[in-house]
Amino acid sequence: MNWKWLIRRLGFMLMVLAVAVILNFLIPRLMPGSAKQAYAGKLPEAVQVKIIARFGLDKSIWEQFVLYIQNTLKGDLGMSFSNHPNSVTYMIGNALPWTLFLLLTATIITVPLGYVFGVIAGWRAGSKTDTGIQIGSLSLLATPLFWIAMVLLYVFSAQLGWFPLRGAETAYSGYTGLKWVGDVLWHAVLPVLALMTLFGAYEMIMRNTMVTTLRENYIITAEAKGASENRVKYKHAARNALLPLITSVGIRFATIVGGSVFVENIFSYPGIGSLIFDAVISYDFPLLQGAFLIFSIVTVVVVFLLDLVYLRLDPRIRY
Amino acid sequence: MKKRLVFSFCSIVLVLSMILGPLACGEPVDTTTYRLTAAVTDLHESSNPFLASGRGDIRIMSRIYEPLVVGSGGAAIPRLAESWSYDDSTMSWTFNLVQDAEWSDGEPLTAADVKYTLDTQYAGDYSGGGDSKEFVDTVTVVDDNTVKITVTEYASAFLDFLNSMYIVPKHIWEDVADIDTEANLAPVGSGPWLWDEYVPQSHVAFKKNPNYWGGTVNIDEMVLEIYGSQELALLALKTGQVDMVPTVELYSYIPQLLESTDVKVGVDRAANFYNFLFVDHREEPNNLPAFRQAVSMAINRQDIIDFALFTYGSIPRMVPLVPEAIASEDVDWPGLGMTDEARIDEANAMLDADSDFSDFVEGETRTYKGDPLNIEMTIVNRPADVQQAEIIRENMAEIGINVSLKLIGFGPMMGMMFGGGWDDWTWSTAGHGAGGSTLDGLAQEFGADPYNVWYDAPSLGWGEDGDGGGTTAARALQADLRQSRREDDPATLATLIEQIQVDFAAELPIIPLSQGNTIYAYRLDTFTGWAPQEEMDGQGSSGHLLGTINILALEPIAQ
Amino acid sequence: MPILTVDDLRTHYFTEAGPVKAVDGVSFTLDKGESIGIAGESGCGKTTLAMSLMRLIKGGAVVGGKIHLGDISLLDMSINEFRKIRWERISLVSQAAMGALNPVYTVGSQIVEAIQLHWDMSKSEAWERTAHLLTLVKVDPVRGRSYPHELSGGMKQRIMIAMALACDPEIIIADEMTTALDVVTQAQVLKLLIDLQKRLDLSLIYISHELSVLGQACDKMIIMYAGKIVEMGPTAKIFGAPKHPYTQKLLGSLMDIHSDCVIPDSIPGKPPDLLNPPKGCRFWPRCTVGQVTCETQEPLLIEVEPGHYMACNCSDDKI
Repeated sequence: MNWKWLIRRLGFMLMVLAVAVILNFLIPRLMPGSAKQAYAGKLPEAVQVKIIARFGLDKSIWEQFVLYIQNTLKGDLGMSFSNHPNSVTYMIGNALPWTLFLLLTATIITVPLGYVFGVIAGWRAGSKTDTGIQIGSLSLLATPLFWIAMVLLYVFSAQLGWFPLRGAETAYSGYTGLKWVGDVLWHAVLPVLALMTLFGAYEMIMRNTMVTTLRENYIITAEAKGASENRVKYKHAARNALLPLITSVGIRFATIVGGSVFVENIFSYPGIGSLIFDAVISYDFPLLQGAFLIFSIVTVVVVFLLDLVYLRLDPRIRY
Repeated sequence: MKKRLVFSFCSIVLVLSMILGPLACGEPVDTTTYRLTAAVTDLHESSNPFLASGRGDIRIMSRIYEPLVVGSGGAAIPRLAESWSYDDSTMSWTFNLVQDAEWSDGEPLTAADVKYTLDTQYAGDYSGGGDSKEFVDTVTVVDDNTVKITVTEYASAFLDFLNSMYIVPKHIWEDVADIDTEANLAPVGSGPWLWDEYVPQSHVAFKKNPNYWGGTVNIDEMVLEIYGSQELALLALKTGQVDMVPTVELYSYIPQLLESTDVKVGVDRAANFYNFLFVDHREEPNNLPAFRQAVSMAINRQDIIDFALFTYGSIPRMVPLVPEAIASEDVDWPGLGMTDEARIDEANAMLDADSDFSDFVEGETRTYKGDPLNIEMTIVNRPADVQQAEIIRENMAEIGINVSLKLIGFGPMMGMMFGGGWDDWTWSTAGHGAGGSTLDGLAQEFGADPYNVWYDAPSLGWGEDGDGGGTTAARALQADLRQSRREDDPATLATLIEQIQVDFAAELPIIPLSQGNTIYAYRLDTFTGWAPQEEMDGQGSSGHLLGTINILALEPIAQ
Repeated sequence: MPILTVDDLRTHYFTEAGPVKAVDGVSFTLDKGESIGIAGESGCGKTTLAMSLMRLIKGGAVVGGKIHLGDISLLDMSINEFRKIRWERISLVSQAAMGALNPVYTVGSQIVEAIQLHWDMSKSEAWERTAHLLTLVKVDPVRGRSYPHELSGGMKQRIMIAMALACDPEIIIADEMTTALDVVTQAQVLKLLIDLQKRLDLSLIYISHELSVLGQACDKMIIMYAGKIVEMGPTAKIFGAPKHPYTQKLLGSLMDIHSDCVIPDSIPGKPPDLLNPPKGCRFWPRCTVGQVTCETQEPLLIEVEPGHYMACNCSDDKI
């Protein structure tokens, strides 16, 4: 383990988080109208007074900032307008596991799929197989996520009835153990499939790096050594082409997070995406901010974890 | 190879989920448990009865808590109060509570709980006390089962005002440190249902209250599932995944629902509602009666009935705020018998006549005092509302007004209208207790004054200063109306009523668009004994199918 | 009997404009323990020749001729069978500096891979042999645990040589092995290779555009021009009395540090387009002694003295 590198990366991650937290502080204060309006505007008057005191909204901007940092560190992100008196932290705490489950499942399935198809297509670039895979990937890339989600819901849930119409689990099912796991997976199939359209992006990245990697001298060495086709393909070429894929997973993660807002809304999935959607409709600024902050944190953490993976995969890294 | 392992694992998980899932969910949970499932599209927001305000909240709160009476057009259905009376000399209402009511934790429900609830509502300015607060002077406990409310002024709609006053247990709430931040995730109530599980954005589940004072509940549990859209909710009903949809808002789907012989669609006559176009009187040219008249003239109400409400509605009376029975027949819609072209021409002529407005040019936006008439119309994001708004937008284009639409949720819309935080035009249904039968009921009991009528209208946001105070003339008229009742002078009252209508027609402070009906739908193959239409009517806007009368009547069909 | 016989070998690359005749009728033999140097300008087909011997042509194919290793015809066997020949009998040393080593694996493991592909050896035995091979090329065996980017160019090139020796091959093809190295390192690596070749009695095909290097390393020289052999013979003969005008020019471009400082001659013009090579002598457009017949008459490779071959219509011996 490269400790120096790790510490630098951690520092970088903290810096990004700090920026996100500061933006979160600044945006409601830069908006037309007052921060009081943004934080407490839609609440009963008696509650407004309490919120103003809690976030020091009548104090100077510096005092507000100190209070804000203290509150944020304590996990106090304010009161949701639309779900008053529930706190933003409570709402997000309920929704986050579902969103993480969706996003990570989709990523964990999509990346290897993109990898395998990218390797197959890149290995025989220009062949019919390659052209077929490229057409598939491009179509997926070009199709809006919410449209795919709607089609999936319409065909497989509404028409065929194979999958549920809504939610992350059967409501009030009382399922436990394996049964519950099965139920949750059953509900996740369509949302995950919709999010898996990002496969197109991963496949194309993998294919293109595969094509360049195959021109490298070490591929010739490997072939000259008498390695079998699969060994050259996976152990030598794909292993190197994997590195840009890992980087792109981090970059794409932000996209998939955005996509989850649509997907969750369409499948009535009780995650952060649905929260954001409802918060926008009901002008619930504290909830919206909290959700964005959580998304920034999730994205930064995921990117950092991917960095760790990258570190394991690429011995050349020296920061 | 590790990568292959990971990949195989993922594929196995995916395949397993496709197989395991349906298998696991295919079998019934427990054959001896009867569950009623309802699909709703309003999110539950707050479980605190003092703070609950959204439709989703009210729907859930009224399963757990109960009001004294359920007002229904001057008459009222008893709930926690089994009888009541009004004494004019002491200006007080006396309510006699049911004898054997108890809280779900076993404590008896007494007059002290009622006093506590009313006092707390009024002191904290919570929404449940909003309508009645103005009239109530003191609440006194006479004995364990009797409570007396002294009022400052008689109001015939007083019982209606108590509709959303959910009585809460004093012994629980007086220990709550801060009502404003209490989430109340384990509510103790007196209603037929016990709160069991709440999963935000997913569902609320209830178990039956085995000791319900009002009767025996034959259903073991009830789940309100939150659906992402009306279409999905109705689809779930059609395919048998839920037993009922308490509020159908996507009228265009009704023919599809009726394809199934197992589904019944009902129209709740008690829950007629009016759709109004509210304009901000603080803004020019909204403040000009002639402008509002022209807008009203240009609106094609028949199109709204046909294409937005899919014929589940009707053209409203010119002055819907006055009960039909007492309304003067002489005042009717300008332009009612005219052809569409003639109406549009007339509306254009009205605007062209004012030199502040630029003349109408086909396909262009008019200006008012040099500024183009670009108006943002705020609407609730429900299908029928959006469809109505689209029709209005087309109509406005025909008289040179460029309308853009802004969609928001129902809760924020109410907040904007009553909080005065709205601009330009706001359009919504006015569900403010102005159900047709409420007004008709008032009219039947003619001794009741139409104060309620005028009470509502100004509060819906129009007025000279836009804060809902009403116009000076309207206030004067209200005072006159109250006076006329006291003097028991029907002749003067009739003149005043006509005056209201004439004034309204001239001023058009809010523009009536359509009269709709609350529509509900349920399946016939899972439960039987659905309460007859007449009995379910008037159980308030909190969900007629879910109302106590229907719930006590329902019997599960053994599968 | 020669260990390797190449007979009228033709390798074409397929492009949309038509076949590019990169190797066009090359014949030579290689004896056990002999070293042959192949020289020529870039694009003359020398690397294509090497790749043809390893059957590693991409985007083209060997379209004619025979290659015999002993009495086995290499071109007639299936690719799977040929994979057994690779490295076990013929190995390839290419430019380590140009990425011939896979960057994501330790150099030792890459040698171990080569051993295990051909020999039934346990991992620890293979590592032992790797240590032995590294000692043979004068590299500290602990370096086997290093990644390529952690090693100097010379070190990497030695490791390439060690890797080439992994399965005791009979023939080593060294392709521009020392090109990217500085002069001192170049000399060291070259000396190492020559020593090992002599010690292990290996046959060596050494491909380079640097004639001086070939002069030191090889018993025999082949000069290629535009896909054909123009002159072939013992190194001393080629350097001492070059017959072909192209060879003469090529040697003329060598700077002799012992003589007076003379700017070496360059060869005017460019090598021909191998899509449409000149009909007659391919060197004719750039030749200073050429005659009219050269334009249409293709010169044959003829033995001008024992062991010394040349293909020119108008050299002294011919006229």
